[in-house]
Amino acid sequence: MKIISSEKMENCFDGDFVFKYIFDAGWTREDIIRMEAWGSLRYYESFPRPMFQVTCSDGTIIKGVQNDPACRIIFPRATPAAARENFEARFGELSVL
Amino acid sequence: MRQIYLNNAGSAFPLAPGVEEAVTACMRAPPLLSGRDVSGSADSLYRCRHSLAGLLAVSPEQVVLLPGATHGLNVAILGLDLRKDDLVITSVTEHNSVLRPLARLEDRLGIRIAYVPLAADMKLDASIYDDLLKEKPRLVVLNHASNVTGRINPVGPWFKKAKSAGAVTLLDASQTVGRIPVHPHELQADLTVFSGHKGLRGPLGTGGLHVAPSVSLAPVLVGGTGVKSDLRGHPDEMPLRLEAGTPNIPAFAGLDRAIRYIMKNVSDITAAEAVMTQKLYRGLAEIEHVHIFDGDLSLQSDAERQTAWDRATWNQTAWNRTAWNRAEAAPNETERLPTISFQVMGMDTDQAGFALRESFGIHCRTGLHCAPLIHTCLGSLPDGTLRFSPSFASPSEDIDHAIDAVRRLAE
Repeated sequence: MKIISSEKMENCFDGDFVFKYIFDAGWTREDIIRMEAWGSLRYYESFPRPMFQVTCSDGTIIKGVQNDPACRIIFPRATPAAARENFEARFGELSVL
Repeated sequence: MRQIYLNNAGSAFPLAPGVEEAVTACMRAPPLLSGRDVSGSADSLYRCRHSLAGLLAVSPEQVVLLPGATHGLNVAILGLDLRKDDLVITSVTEHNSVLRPLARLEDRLGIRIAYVPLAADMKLDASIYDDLLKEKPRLVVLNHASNVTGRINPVGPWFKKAKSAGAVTLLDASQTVGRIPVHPHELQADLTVFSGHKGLRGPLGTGGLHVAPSVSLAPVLVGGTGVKSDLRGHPDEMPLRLEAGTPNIPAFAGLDRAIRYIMKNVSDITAAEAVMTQKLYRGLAEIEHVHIFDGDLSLQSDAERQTAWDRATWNQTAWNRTAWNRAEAAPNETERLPTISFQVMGMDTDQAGFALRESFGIHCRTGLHCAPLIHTCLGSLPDGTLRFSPSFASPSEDIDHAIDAVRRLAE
């Protein structure tokens, strides 16, 4: 998967750490399962549109929906720049898995 | 996927029948009328002002048309000439559109603010309020209903006491206008602020303020009025005194149409929303691992409530007097709007809101709902709550679908 674009999002709290990423393809079941290696995965496969949330070891939270090319990322407040760099680098990993 | 809208406490959808047509017709006609023709029945502002006056049972010249309730609350609070050490009593249930103007005056002028907390039964604490009134407040600001819990506050008797204590009374009726009767005289409200895009089901960017003749507000904005242009200063008469600049006339044409619809159907709306409140509340309450934030603290331990209490960072002279007790008050749909806040245990509210929207097509609000203080009392910090706010226009099957979706999240 390759990152096509990213944009900052607002939420109810401080939106400085919330981003929306768009990828070149939708999240497959296999992509979602692979992310379990990054931290804890909650995968709701039985929902009408299956969704997932990954809480990475550095505190980054990734939320998305299966078959949708977008996801929402909340970076940790303490180290947002490093976490963002780490997150973007990881998609190199995912694309070659 | 079918989309279900449950954020009517934020902005109503769909709008009242005929609003879109009224806005479009106004925009398609040349703007020959200034919007300031106080005698012209063809004038959209004139008609909207008179419709609002009918709805509120007040004189039209005391109705100020503004871009929304936030604007109205700023005009009211900033226009009162509050001074250093003046006491303002408000409550923890208020929206930031009350809290932030007051906080600004606290920082800049040194006014004092006291926040009435919630008692154990989740109602505003009457004994603390009575104590605060002894300190002769200059202003009392209360909302008619919380935008978080939907709980309707007893503003009539509370404002009566406030006026006896010499205070000006300011009612934030953003959540209630169009849903239940709001009559400033009966409620003893000197100033009444309302929104056009919630219960009235009018266009975004509409709202206003009723000013009782006994109260004089200094204008926050001055400038063009379209009439009395030969005067050096801003006209003093109401409502021009508080309406500077070009108003959004098409939007008020739409609001006028919405008010006429609401006034014809208000009894049906109230009845339908009472039934819906009951259905939604009971449906959610039956789900294990769902905690509704309204009068039932049985799912919270004393330690959890104390932790929430300790997180309060606001100036809170009154808060420390509150004693928390377990309460299991049954909800009474006659005391509330169809606005229900809850959490799904084991799932943070942002995650639950994301799942409802993306997986089930249900659009609700998550977080603090711009009312941060109430969450300290509810024990819903730091994530806030999920909020469902249907309306009379929400199909019954939407409520069933929403309850079922929450049940699946909670499994």
